[in-house]
Amino acid sequence: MASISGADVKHVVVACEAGMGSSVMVAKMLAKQLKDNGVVVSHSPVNQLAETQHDVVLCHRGLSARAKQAVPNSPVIVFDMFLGDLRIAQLVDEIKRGATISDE
Amino acid sequence: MSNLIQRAGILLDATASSPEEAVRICGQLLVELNAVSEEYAQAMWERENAFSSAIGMGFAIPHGTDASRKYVNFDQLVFLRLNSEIQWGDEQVTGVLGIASQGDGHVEILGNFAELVQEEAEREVLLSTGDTEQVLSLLSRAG
Repeated sequence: MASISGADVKHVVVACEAGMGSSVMVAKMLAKQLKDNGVVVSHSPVNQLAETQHDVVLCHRGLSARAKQAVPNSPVIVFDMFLGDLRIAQLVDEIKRGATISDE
Repeated sequence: MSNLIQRAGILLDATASSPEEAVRICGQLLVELNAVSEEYAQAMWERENAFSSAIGMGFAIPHGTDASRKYVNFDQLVFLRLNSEIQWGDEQVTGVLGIASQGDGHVEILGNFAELVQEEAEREVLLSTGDTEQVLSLLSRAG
């Protein structure tokens, strides 16, 4: 398990497969929601996560095992639905409030 | 504003009985528009087969693999509406947005599309109107 304070989050990376579809869409939506908080949201293929600069990694459940393996020391937040997932809304809230973000 | 999508790329009465068939129709449309070559259309199904592109709310967004980007001539989106809902991974899908992209040129429209389909009124239009112009204007506005 890894955790970080939402106040320290400056860069969120959304893990994806091809970098063209749904994860990119999530990254775009998240970027909009966190724009005013000075948080940069980008996306990266799951096998290149280790080379990215990130405080938190966000990924779909289908990629979570590979993501956790790629960056075992980073908080990896997992969601199930590309649209309207509560865990993503919660992450946004945690970052805005500076609350603890944990991938447990 | 966007030329990412055009009238000829919108089919409001598509018949498909499986995701495979729907993805193939998207691929064919993109080939017909000269946006991609046949290899990309094949890669769209490879990608779909590996990981469902259903995003919820009745929509899926099939696209190729990173390696198949070289078969894209220009960025383009196509939209299919299926005559009847089909099982797509864990979801029920009626609207299919096919994506061909060389880079990140389509990301903006994709983010806006996600917002669009989360709005009930807009979603209803995308899932039920018979008016191609209306769909084109919604999707273009999204761009």
